[in-house]
Amino acid sequence: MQNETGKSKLMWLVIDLIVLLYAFIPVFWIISLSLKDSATLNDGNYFPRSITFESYQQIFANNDFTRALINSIGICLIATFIALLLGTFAAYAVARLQFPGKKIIVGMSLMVSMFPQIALVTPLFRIETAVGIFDTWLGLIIPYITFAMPLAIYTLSAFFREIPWELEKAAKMDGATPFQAFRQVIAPLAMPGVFTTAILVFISCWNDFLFALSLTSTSAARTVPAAMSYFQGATTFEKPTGPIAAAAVVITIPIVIFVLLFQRRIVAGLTSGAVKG
Amino acid sequence: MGSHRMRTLRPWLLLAPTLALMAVLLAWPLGRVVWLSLQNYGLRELNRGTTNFVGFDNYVSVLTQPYLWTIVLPNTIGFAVVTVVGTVALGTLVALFLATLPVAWRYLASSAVMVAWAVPAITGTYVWVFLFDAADGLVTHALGGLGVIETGSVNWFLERWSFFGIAALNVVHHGFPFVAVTVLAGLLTVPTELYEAAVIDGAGAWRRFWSVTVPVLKPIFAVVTILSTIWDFKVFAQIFLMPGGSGTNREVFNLGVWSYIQSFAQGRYGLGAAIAVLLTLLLLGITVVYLRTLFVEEDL
Repeated sequence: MQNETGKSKLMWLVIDLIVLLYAFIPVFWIISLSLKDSATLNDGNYFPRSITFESYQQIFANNDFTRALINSIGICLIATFIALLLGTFAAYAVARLQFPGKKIIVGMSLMVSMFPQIALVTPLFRIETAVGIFDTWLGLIIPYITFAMPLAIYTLSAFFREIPWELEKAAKMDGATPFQAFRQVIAPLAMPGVFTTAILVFISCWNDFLFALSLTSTSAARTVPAAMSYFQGATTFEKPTGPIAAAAVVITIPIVIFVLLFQRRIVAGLTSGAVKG
Repeated sequence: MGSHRMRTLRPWLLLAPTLALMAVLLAWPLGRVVWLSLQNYGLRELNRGTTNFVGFDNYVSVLTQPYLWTIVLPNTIGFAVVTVVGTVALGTLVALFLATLPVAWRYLASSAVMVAWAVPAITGTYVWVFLFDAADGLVTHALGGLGVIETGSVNWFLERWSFFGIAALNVVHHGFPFVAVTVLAGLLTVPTELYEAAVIDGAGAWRRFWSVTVPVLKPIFAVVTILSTIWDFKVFAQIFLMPGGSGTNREVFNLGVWSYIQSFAQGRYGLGAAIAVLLTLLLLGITVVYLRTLFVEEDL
């Protein structure tokens, strides 16, 4: 696209600028709000006059929030671990073995990922209340695994297809036991894919709001997204803008760190479904 | 003989834990929701544990309500159409821009785009609500300063169109990075000779996009469009967390929010379940199209 005129170059520049502003104004605004003190919170200035960590101190002094943070981390880690463990077996079968009914399995797993979570909320609520796991970690881990499974299988099998499996055979010919071949040759090759999938699964659990809202009732299992919707201002008339902004920043930070550290892999994982290797 | 049987069994052994889990965790609740949708199931039935089978009454009641046809369905479908078009258009634009950059800059700019992706939907929703807050929002202040509106006099969230306008900004903001990185990955696989040939034939940038990029990347566009459609049909948090979205403003419900409100706020679980089943059927239709596109394209 070398021979573009000055005019269309200018147009591109303007479009880029608008897109950039659109992408970043919200991000800066929430950070700015979280750093303002309560007196200047509503002054409409884009940058805080003076930076204060008041809102952060406030939410971290709030037991409901710290408890929610622990719940979020614990529930998402456990759900990710189990989904990855089961997903690895299934993805291996899908990626490496030929068997009748494979298309149906892949189709069904995609179908599940399209499923509207809202349809399962009421029955899950009823079942969990009856079984006694409503408002517990287990009560959230279970639906998270269900909805993370297809994502895990699909992304993992895309990565597994790229592994040069002949190496396994070569290692065995060189006298390695099947276990050694797996541990020393295949596992290191598979790790990046497993790791990337783990990040994607973790993010999908971390961002859930609907299940967290409807399958919990106390801070025993309420995760941060749900807990935030229960934040209250200092008085009934004061909006809890500062604490919400601070909490919103806190739940965003880990994801941003993941993205910045592992951008290439995450992008590869995200696009694996649409773009052939 | 034994090894042959082992070979046929192996995939199913590997799949068994997943299939068993899915059968229990998905099929059971799914069966329950269909069963629930055929009952007049309110708080009374919930407390007594009795059942009250009414056949398709809930479906008839939902489908004959003008509210469904004039408010909820337009809110669901219209909103999905607008946000999908917006997401795919913006994502493609960004991808085209990224593709023109030198590698190092492209990496940096992709990181920036991915930061927008990393912002959880719930954080995004709060930000957009704060930006357009009637009294203290940044946009409200800016427009007030320009003299376009009087600060504090306009509440964008009360009116259906402006409510969904803000929701669309939020949903597109959350969705375009995925489209951008996916289309970019595709763009980088397009052989440059194709563009060179088009340039020699005298095709301008616009023409090159439509007659080279779009046909080559058609499968990718199909996938991102269908995935975005599915996601945008079932938006929940982005509507529910906006002022009025959690029940006070019936003008702004979509199918998901309506189902939730009927079940959890009104205690009409049967009706809520029927709405949820309808949403599921709608998504199932789109998914079937998606699967056909996918299986035509690749041999798994």
